[in-house]
Amino acid sequence: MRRLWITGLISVLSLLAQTGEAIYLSQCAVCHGAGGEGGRGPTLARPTLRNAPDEEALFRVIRRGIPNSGMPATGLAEREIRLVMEHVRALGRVAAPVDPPGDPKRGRQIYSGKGQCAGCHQAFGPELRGIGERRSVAHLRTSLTDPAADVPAGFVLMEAVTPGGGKVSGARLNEDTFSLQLLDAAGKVQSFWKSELRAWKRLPGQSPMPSYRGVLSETELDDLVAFLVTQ
Amino acid sequence: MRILSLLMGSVMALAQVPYERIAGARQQPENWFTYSGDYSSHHYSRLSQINRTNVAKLKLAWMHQIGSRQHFEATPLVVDGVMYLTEPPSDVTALDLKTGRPLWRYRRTIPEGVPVCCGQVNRGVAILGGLIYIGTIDGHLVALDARTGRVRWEVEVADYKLAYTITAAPLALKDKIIVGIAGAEYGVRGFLDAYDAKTGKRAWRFWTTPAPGEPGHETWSGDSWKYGGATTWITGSFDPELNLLYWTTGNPGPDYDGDVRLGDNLYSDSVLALDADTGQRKWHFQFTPHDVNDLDSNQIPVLLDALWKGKPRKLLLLANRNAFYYILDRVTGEFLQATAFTRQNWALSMSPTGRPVPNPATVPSTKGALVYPDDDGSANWFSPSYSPRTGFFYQNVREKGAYYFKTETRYQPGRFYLGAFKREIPNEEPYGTLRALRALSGETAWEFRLHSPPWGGLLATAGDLVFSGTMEGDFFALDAVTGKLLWRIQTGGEIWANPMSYQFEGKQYVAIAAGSALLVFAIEP
Repeated sequence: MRRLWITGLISVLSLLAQTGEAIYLSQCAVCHGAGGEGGRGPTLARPTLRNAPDEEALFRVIRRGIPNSGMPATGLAEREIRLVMEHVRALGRVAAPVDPPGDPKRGRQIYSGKGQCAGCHQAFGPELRGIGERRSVAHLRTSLTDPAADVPAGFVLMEAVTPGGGKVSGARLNEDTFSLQLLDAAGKVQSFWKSELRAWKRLPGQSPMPSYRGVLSETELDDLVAFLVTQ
Repeated sequence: MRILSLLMGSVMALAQVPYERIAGARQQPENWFTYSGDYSSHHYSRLSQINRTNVAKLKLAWMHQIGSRQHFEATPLVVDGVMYLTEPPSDVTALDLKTGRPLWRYRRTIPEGVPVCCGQVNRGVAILGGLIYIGTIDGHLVALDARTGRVRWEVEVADYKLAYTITAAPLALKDKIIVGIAGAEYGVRGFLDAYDAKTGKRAWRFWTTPAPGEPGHETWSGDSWKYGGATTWITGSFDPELNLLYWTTGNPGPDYDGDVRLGDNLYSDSVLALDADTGQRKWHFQFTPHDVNDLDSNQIPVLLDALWKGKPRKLLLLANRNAFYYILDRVTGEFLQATAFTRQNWALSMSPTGRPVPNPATVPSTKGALVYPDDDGSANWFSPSYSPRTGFFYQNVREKGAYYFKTETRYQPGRFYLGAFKREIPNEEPYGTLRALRALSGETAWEFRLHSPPWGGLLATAGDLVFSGTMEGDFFALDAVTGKLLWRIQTGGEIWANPMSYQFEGKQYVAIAAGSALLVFAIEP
């Protein structure tokens, strides 16, 4: 009896000690990835979730699963679900910047003027909408001077070699066993059958973005970052 | 009256599939009687109307769409002009082969909250006599009238609230229906069941983790056998001459934490040879003792009679999730050979009796352990195919590793019982291959590279073709001898199923589930 009481106490204590992260790693990460990057299940490291637009929906999804999909009911208790929700909502997000240095108004002018950012990022560069929720001020600052330091996961730069020896590089829109579609720097879709190409390859660790080191002053870089975090 | 009874007689004859017809499946290549085509699980079609000379003219003949967003993992059966197809979660549709139109549908209401690791999927039905059998995601076995789809009987195999679910097609043999279960990610105790085909009464149950007093119990520390997994979630094979059923088992539970279940953990990651009448174990062979990498051995055991080192032998061939291709003697269970068919690092070597020497570096740890293959395996449930014409064992292969980080886990009913999480390898893009292995050596004769690790199976045919599908929706045919691409089509949906072939009114067809549609192809002149 006494042993039972102690066992009960230990399990209650271990439950109290559980964090949202621990529950996430033991129950959710198997499909959604340790950092919410996705896998068998969709990525959770994004500011909005398609099947859980609000807290009520997120609670329901975790408790009951999503009918007619791969998401099962979890069997978690309400308290545990609340902890997991908190963890999930934090995935892929950075803390709101505390007064980033720089002037966003001047940053906007640099973005579409001197920096010549808008052209590429509208044509084929990575999406910048909501970038302030996904990337920290320090990360953005580094990306401006060292763009290849951390290329976003979904942005795969590739090079295709045509039978004539011409090289076409661009962001991968689709690749399968038989074909390849790239978006080139001019924003044009280039579609190939692999059987008609001489070669194709990924260009890992490379970024088509130029470094702004020495191109923009320290103040201008701060201004640009201050603008980006508002996006 | 006489005319009526004659008419009744012919209708009855249409739906009658006695055991002898299934055992003689090779003599009726126009039909597809079992999940793997026949009891030896060659997943091979003896039809040759579609062949290397005309496959380029293959066109869509008809299609059938389903309303589900779950993975469509079904391989249909075809018998006497009717196709019997399962649709996720646990529905059955009978389709008229002449028109592609449904003859009947069985729609099952699934309770809320069924715990499943990998989707509410279903891979197919069994047929015997005049009945169609489906195992359901909520743990039931249901017998339907093949003519109408009406429920004849239904039994609970196990409680879905404890995470016992059924995704595999049952296997019908003699007067029994064999059905396996899933749930090893939730700490269930595995078993294999046989039911009386006419009444649904359970004939036998073989527990895949032995209880105290049973042989093999000593391979589990403490009470770990109670939550030890070793589930039976892919359809097995049968040798009528030996009266032996060959069924494979999955990972021990928890998947990645071996510290709570010291020992070999029998009969996880094994193939079991069971007496088909009694369920008594004749022999077993464990591929991955004390598995900590989720290397379920739920792959299709392929039965082949061949000359082995000059002597005729009854062999069992299996391309394992653990990256080794095994050849066993299926009379005795004797290990004959194992060859790695792709990259692996979990085994340092293999003993002469087939016992691997595990690599301590691949045990999940708090620092992370790099493991090849990852927990989806080099092979998985998707079917291989054996062609007697080429002597090749065709296997779709997943070329992928991952890092495994140990986490705390304890058994709680209906919750994941795993013990680790994984991280992808940075800057390493996984891919797939379709490999033609020499069946009696395991050497790769040729390989065809796939962009992504595949989840679909293979069909080789007497037309010397191999059919396969990709995760990007391509369905294609290769020359079975050389591996050269001969035909392809973009289906627009991920392919999570095995192709199959049948003949109707003198014409050969090839069917594949892709996305949420079943596509049926034929040569259109």
